[in-house]
Amino acid sequence: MGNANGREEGERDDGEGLENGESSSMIGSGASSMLQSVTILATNDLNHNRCDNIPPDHAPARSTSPFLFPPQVPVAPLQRPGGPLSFDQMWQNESPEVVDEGQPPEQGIPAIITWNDDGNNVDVEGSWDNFTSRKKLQRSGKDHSILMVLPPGIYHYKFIVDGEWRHIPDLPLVTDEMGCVCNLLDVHGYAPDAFEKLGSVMQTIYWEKPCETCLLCSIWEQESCFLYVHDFVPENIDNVIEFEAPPSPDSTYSQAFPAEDDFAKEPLAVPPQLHLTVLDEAASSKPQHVVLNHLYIEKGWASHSLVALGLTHRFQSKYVTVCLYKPLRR
Amino acid sequence: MECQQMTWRSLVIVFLHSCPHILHMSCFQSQVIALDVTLPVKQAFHILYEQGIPVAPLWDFCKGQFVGVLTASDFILILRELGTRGSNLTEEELETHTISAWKEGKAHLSRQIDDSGRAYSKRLIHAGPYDSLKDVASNILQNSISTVPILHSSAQDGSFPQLLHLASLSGILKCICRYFRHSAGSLPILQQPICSIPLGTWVPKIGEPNRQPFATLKPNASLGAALSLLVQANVSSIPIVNDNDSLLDVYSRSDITALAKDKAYAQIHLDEISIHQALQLGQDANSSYGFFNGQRCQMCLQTDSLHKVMERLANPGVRRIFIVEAGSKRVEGVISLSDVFKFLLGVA
Repeated sequence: MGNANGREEGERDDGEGLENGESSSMIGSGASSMLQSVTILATNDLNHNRCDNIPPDHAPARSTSPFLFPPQVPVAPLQRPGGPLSFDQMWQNESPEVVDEGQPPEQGIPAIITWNDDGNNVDVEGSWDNFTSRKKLQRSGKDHSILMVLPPGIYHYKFIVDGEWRHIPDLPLVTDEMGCVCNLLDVHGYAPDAFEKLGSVMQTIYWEKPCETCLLCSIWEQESCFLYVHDFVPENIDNVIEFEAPPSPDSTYSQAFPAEDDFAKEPLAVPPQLHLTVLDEAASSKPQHVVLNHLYIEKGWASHSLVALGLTHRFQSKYVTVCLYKPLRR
Repeated sequence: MECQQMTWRSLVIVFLHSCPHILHMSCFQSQVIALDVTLPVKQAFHILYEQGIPVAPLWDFCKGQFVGVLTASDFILILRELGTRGSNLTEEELETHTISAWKEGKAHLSRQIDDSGRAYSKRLIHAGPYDSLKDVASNILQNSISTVPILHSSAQDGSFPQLLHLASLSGILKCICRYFRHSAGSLPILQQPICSIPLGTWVPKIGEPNRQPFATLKPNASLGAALSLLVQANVSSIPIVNDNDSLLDVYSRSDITALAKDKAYAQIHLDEISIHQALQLGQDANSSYGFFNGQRCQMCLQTDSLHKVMERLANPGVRRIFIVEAGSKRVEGVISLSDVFKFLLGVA
């Protein structure tokens, strides 16, 4: 919710005299473009890793999707003049940790948690490791920040500011296990305009005042914030130069329709790349692009009264093989 | 308590609203099986059984469109209808009767006895890849179906549709569970025992005379009785209990495809075979028929948390979980996927 929240800051009436920090924990707008690019790479690799995708060695002319890149190590972004956050200290001292709770390893998404109010020592604890470890935020002027790299999901976190539990009250509120009202926050790897709609939905639902019952639980005096990490970036085709296939040569358009004796000849040999049918490939391996949109017929069905046809097509980054059973009429 | 519940549900609804379905299609690469609508019903039966799938979309070459789905429920109705003609099942009938003829007949039948008031729609119920998870879930719930095909057409008039996926509530529940796994310990409602949440269908206790009876069957009940109960009670499964009401097994609609093994459907009479024997047919199948090897009968206690129940239901192939008494395994209730989603989405 990078820019959506940034816009909120500008619109908010500062005269309300909010005591706690009014900035939000999210990717700062100054560095959003850099971090987004990191996230895009992380995301596409996430799709890769999730399905144990190993390209076959023997693929000769396999075209790689333009959307997929090898994973890159996040590098320190350039400091923008007047940017709200100073990343230098953060990037030097904190190596991104990918939290793995026994789940299959997932690429983490970087997200920044910020505390903008008064305080000398600011730490954070969160549900990424079930509040077992406390991480120190890096100070830069009046701001305290920390970079987290987390698998996608929704998280809680709490600040410890100079020994006191703190939260950001103007952010969306939800209860935590202590029965108290907590903050909900949304951090995505999206392009900001994808958030606009989501931001308003979030605002309506979450920026509500805690109810009477919850306020009564204040004996605990512990409130925490939610960190909401998404793992996908809508594919932005405009940013990618499409691979333009050369058109067929003109001579192929003026060929005569096959005559009877043409049908008597042997059919053309199938190119070697197409020998591997989609019907007997393992479901987990990514098909070669060369077999896409070719119709396959399963061998050995001639004597049966039905036949299996197979077709693999691509939709965005998903490959779907449709196997259609059709009756054969003799 | 109300505030907590509403807020957590809001979280879920926002999550479901914000995620288009395509991004949560389970695999990078997947396979879907479809059937030509002119296939004889008998062959379709065998394909569903051999491929271990409970539902397949139907493709019409003449129209160039997907026109419906064939489900286990269709076979239940077919077997019941053929049984009532007085004679035993004949293979010839099943061999020539096409899926489209069956669907036509079914439409005719339902127009005649449409006392439920629901308009019969011949249009295929489907969803698009960019529909949000909430739209897909609502689609499934409102139409009382178990799976919805995800189709995409790049043409304006919807021609040349691509079949992408068969979406079901369990896939969507899996996404929800994944998203909340890092904060489940901190959300009170997820830790509440299911007996304290208005969820699922429970066996009426003494003193609740107005509640609907909870359908169960004994293992020696006839298959015909089981199928009738499935159709009339409009449920997807019936727990099989012994004389002490302890849960032994479950007969689901999808179990009907096991009758395709060795063409059992042609040799048996629905009222002369017991559910127990019918289930034995399916359980003798070898392990390549993965669908039947899923956990057959999921059970939990009424003190189990909502989170635990949701995680169990998120497993593929699990559509319901029975609440049993510890030790005696007496059936106390059942929670299905649609129950969970009706609760999450705040739908009656």
